[in-house]
Amino acid sequence: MQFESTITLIQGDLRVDAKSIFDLITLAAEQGSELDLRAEGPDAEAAADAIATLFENRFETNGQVSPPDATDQPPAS
Amino acid sequence: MDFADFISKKAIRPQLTATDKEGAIREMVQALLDAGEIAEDQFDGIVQKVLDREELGSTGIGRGVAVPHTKHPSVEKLCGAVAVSESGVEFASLDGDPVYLLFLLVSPPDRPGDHLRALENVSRRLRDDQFCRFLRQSKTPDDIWQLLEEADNNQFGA
Repeated sequence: MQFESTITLIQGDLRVDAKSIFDLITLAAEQGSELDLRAEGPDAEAAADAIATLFENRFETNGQVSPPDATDQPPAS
Repeated sequence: MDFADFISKKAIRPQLTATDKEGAIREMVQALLDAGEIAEDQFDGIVQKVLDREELGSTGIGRGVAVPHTKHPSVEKLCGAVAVSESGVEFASLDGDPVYLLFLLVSPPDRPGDHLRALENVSRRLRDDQFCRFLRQSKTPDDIWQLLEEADNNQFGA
């Protein structure tokens, strides 16, 4: 794992391990959902920054993330 | 959302023959076609869109599981196929390992919520080791359907 810290993504009552793709999918977070990010550990700040950047860069999909009403593009998930 | 809400009972393939990603996806889209869930003239288009999605990042999410999926305007409701591979499929998975359990989802573009809830269901159920193990040991479509029903009835953890 790139970061030692414990990283949690929170949506409402759901709290999941951000290092587990299985956990992340179970948020079923639609585009536009509000999530809270919590990182705890020695490299918490760097981990939180890296994740924030990932979101800002749309997960490095080069803008191919489809808006909710798109009909002919690959889905974001 | 439960498995029974989106997995087509006629699109269950306990013995996948393909060992490569494209072959496996073709076999599973064919299963949806055989089950009457998709139209024959949409077969190639759906296969291509599922492969395009894989280019964005593999849906082989580890634990020997893959959830190839796409949205496609030709379907009116969410539909899904299940396949089990005995020998494993090279899927460029996140953990590098072959995949043995595959869930293919095709959903209408205007229902992103259903699409996500189906993915959520698959992911939540497959976190359970016992469920994964039983699925991999299944030899017939009936065995698999029964397991999916048991999962729907919360007979596994998670």
